Amino acid sequence: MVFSSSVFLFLFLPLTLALYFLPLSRNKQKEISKKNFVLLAVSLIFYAWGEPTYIILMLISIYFNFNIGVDIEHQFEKGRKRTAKLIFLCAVLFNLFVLGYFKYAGFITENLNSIFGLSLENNNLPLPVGISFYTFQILSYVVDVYCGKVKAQKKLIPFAAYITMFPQLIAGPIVQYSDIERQLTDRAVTKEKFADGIIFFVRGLGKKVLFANTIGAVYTEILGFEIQEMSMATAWIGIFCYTLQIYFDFSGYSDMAVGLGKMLGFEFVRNFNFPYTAISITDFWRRWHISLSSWFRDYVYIPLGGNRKGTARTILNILIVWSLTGLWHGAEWTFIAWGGFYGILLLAEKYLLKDILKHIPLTVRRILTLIVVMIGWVFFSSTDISSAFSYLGAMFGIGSNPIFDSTSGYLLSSNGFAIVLMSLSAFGFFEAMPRPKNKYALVISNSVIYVVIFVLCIAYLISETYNPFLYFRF
Amino acid sequence: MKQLIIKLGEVVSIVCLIAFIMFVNAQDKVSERSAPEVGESVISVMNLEGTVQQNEKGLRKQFGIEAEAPDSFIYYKSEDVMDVRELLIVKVTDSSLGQQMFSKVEKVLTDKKNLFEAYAPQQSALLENAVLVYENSFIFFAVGEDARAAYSAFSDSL
Repeated sequence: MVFSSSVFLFLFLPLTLALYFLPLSRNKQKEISKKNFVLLAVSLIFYAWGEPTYIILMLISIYFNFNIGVDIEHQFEKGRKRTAKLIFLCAVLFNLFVLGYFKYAGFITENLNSIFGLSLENNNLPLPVGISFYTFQILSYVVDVYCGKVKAQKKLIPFAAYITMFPQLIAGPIVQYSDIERQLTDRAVTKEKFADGIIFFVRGLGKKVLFANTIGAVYTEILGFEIQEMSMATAWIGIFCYTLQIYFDFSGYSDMAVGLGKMLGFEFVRNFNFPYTAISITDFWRRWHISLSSWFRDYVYIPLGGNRKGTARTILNILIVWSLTGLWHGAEWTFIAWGGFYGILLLAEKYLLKDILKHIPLTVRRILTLIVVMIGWVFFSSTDISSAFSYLGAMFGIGSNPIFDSTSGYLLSSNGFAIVLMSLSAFGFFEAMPRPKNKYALVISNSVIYVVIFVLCIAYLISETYNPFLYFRF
Repeated sequence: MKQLIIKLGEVVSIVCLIAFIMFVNAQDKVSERSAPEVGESVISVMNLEGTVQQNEKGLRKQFGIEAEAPDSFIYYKSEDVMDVRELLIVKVTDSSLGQQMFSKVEKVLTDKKNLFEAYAPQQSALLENAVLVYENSFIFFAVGEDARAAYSAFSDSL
């Protein structure tokens, strides 16, 4: 089930909210327990809607890691540090095995067969939706319990509710257990928080339905052209459209997740902060998919030694982290190339360009960063490495591609307004606009704006039935 | 006692995981073949004369399926609005996306049935006998006199 579907908006969400807010007890703890139970039940329905088989895998994973958490804590209490470490390592292996088997086994087998001429059987299993997101959440919990950062959760329902929570189950943001531990047992929904949640949700819905889907259609149209005949301008328009599409698609989903979280009384971390206004690649990754970057920093980069073990080790750590970041997005060489591309750029910024960048005006730095990010998206969006290089060839006029042709003119004249509007939004122009100072004027203007966005989204959803989220693939 | 239950829980989880892996491996798997590879044997038994192979735009226009969503596809359709013959084979490894795409194709088929029902009995009969299945990560959709034979060729070539 996707958030931007009629079933979700008009059936699942209203029923969920009705059940969630149905008062059962005056006792606050009992009420929270009921809410957690409802949240778990509806989240399982949400997941099972599109993935009935793999819900079993998720439940096995939850039950195993719940027991592991309690077991590790128990071993520490008894002073058995070595046993706790052994259990911890088993848990890490278990979770990596689950992720590896269901997401990467086919890729590994394929590459072993092609490199060594073997004929190992490929398991060819479909990818369980959201497996990368929930496995990372589980790992964060196990690591934090082992490191003593959080207490093990003693009740299965709150723990299962944390992992399966439908707002962020399928496409993040990756919520670390330490960020949500207290909220699982003590949270409140105020009118203001609920209203804030609606605003976030409608904003995200608008980003996805009105912006990402519209600009995605332009990119799809451009994909249908022959790369050899594509002009440089068309290639750049195409990748710029994809740049906007992936931002609005993913940040739209994240906004909806944050909004739904607020409606249910949770506060999730912010996942995007106008990434296309970044002044460097380092800055870009502080603004794009923040929850994933934070996860890799906290659970891979720092445990590997971060930058505390000398230059050579720092370089190695950065390359490891960014190769893994690429691989996390999918079992494809294009994703590994994309991750490696960022690893190298970040190293270049850290060791070579640091002083040079200081002397470049901020606007120029923003433009340069955006161009580099767009080049990165070519690898990310391509089906294979050779297609990525063919497309890059068209962008940079390698071959006989003209600079500009009638197709480019047509694309600009028919989509120019949408591209400018979306660019202004992505670059934070609307966010920076002055707001009414009067409280009532602000409420009325917000109400009008978000009701209009919602109505437009519904109208669009009724006419356009197909709107998958790009990040569901991960 | 509590510790024993925890240990038992860990062991049961591992046993369940092994059983689950055995179960999913016994189920339908994603075929290693791409849609064009599978399509080769289907095309050899299906009369597609007068139809034209469609690109991503054609796929989107007819079914609303975005080009980046399927792993691979082949789609043949006639340019003649009264010719209902068509062949669509889509490979999609993501099962939730596959279900969504299947629903889109199903809707197109239903709409066409309703459209031709009242005034074009020949076309209507072909649409009634159309084959639409979702198996082994492939959506197979064929409309034509030889749709059944095409489906058999499709099943054999997976």
